[in-house]
Amino acid sequence: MHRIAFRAAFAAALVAVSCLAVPAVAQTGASSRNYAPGFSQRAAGSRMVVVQTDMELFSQSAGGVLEPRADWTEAAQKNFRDALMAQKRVVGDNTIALQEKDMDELAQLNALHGAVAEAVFIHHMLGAPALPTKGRLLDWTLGDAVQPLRERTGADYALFFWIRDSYASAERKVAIVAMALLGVGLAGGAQTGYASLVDLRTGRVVWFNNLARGFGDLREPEPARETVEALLKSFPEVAR
Amino acid sequence: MALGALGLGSAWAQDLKGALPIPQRFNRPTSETDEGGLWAMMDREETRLRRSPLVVRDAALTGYLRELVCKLVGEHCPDVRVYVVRTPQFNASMAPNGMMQVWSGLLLRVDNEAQLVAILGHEAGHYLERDSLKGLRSAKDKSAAAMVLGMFGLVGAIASLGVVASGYGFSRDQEAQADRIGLQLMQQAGYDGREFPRVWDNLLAELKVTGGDEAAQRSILFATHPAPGNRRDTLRQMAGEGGGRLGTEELERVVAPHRMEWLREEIRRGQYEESLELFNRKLALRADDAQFLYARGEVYRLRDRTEDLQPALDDFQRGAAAERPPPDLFRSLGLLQKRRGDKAAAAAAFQKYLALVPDAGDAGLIKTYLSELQS
Amino acid sequence: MTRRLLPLALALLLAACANVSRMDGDQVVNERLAVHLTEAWNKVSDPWEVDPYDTWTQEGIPLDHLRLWGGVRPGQPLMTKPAMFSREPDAKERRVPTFRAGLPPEKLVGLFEELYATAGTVAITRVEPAMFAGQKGVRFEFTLARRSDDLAMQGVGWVAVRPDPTWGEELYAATFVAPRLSFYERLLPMAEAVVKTARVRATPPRS
Repeated sequence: MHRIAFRAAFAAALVAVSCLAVPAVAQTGASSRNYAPGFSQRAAGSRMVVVQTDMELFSQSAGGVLEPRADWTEAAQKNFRDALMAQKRVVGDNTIALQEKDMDELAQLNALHGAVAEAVFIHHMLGAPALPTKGRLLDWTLGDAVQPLRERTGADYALFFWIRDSYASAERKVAIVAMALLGVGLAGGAQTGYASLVDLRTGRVVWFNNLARGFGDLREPEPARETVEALLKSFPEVAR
Repeated sequence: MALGALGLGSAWAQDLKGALPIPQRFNRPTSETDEGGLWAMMDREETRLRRSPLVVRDAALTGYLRELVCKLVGEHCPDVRVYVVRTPQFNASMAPNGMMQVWSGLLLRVDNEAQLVAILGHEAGHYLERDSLKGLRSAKDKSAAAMVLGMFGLVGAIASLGVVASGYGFSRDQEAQADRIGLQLMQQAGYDGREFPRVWDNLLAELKVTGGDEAAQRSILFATHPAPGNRRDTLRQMAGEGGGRLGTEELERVVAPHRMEWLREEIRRGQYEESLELFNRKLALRADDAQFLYARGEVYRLRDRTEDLQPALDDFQRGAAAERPPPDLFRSLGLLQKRRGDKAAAAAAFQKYLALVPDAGDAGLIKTYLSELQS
Repeated sequence: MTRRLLPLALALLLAACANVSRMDGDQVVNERLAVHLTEAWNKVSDPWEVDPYDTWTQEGIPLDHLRLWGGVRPGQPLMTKPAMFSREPDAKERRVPTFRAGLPPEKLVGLFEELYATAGTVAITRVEPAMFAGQKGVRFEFTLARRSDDLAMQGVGWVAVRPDPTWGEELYAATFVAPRLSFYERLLPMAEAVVKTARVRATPPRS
């Protein structure tokens, strides 16, 4: 489905790799990288809505092409959801999940969040390149665009996930180059993704974490739990 | 399906009526199976389609199309969902999960309901024969599966494939079969079968204008539905003497609220020669259609060769005198007259435009031109 | 969404090669268009130095951009060829919008419509006369449905042509694009503040 698109990405990657400098970004850096200025905890008694994870699993064929695997993706979605629900300190007792049909009307908000998250991912978490005017702070907001989501769910925070995961025993060239950017070694599988917490009262992205690694298997429940834990490391508690 | 060999001529054409056995409704496979995983992928494509800003959300139009499809597929009706996608290309598709896409470029081009039903029937033919699923059955060939499903993607996804000459769509036999089924279904529903080959004729004529031998590759439809040369002839033969409904008015009524917008998008493609071929054909059917007169005049005006100015002027002037000329026409006429140096005529046209649409987006600019012309 | 592995990866790759520097105070685009910034912007430098415009952003590459063209001469393109993965099937002869002398305002706007059509579905919603860089020109507004992620964008542009003894005419322009939801309204005043200060810089004497 995206064969030629990925070949193009690969070609561009080969060209681009010569001008790469591995960004000096530690994956387990200070937690202030993950938190917006002035934010440390979720408000007491607050409710959180989990938006359905945007997840896609790929296999890489011998020709070096990433192909989406719907069967793997479905299994991974289930494992991810189960693992997430098991994280009691995250999910607590005041968390709801957004229904698939609600997403139809919130499609533009979802697309907007995707673009904001991409900006945070590239410019803040990776700093490749960083935006000087941001002053190394997690300082992005969706503004009043989040109102409809708040009204529909009565939630104070929204949690978004985005995962792209490829599995191949052999060549993984595109993922290899992408992972090189993230300072990650090349062995094993390749997992990239983010988790993003948005304050629905203000629209601010208050917490963000990303993942880039060479291992992890969302197709099985146990390793999926491990991925979720890694993603949600430093996730803010609810204030007492 | 006992249709026998082709080439039996009109005698066989007579037998087509009422002879098509439609298969029973399909059961959706469970998600644990390989096939189930593919349905999940299709469902996700459909979800994205449903949320896309490119989908035309007009209940009357979508309902009309769905009714037509339902007439053709009988008990499969509950499984059918129709989406009109705003894209200025001729294409329609029906995914194995019942999701049907019809692109605005197709709705602009078909002359009547019969031609529309021909294409819908053809696509329904692929669906009823489960043509895509036959290819997907093999659990080993996932990349082929992904490619096949890519056929049902949005234009953006297809565009990113660089769909040309990959020919990964249906086989020639499957195409021929879908043609037969499409023809039968439309004739059973009372339409004139001769309109079917006419659709291919018209499309090929448009593509050949710039494409030449590669004409087939310039349309997404032909990229995914390879068009061997004899398909049209086969259809002509099968259609026999014809006779039956055309349904010109019904289609026009449903398309009317959108046609101007779709014409603007066709013009915006910037493929002037192809657009001219289309507009010429439409104006041959009805010479005083103000919207098509505007469209053709506008293409001449934009192409802006020395020999284009007069035909553009002719079209605009005829369109202005015809029934319900679109306001765009007067703006373009004004710009053309300004270009030709006829200040009085330009001013008159601009004034007419501003009178018709005082709060047009470019009113500010046109008013400036007007005062320049009048000083 | 499936498609967004590609933009993200590509954005990563291109971004890693891109250089971003902080801009404030007096700045000059292409040695011809001078602007004054009261608030800081981020300038994204194209690693291969091929784009004929400068790109500045507040919130980042995936979100907003302010593009500035200074002293474009007849025959020069307004953009470099779009990357192959964004080409549509019927774009065998995809034209790259190129400036020509003698274009009336609506055709100048048409060039920018062409330019943004490579990124998605464009609709020009408003055109009116306006000053830009001290020259008489037009200001136009448009919407863009971005093909890569279906995000609805809103845009505004200014374009003016200046007669020139050597080249006949020179084009000066600016466009600002941001997501329609929340961002455009928030950031527009900052973009307009920059554009208001735009001036043509006289050609420095050549040796």
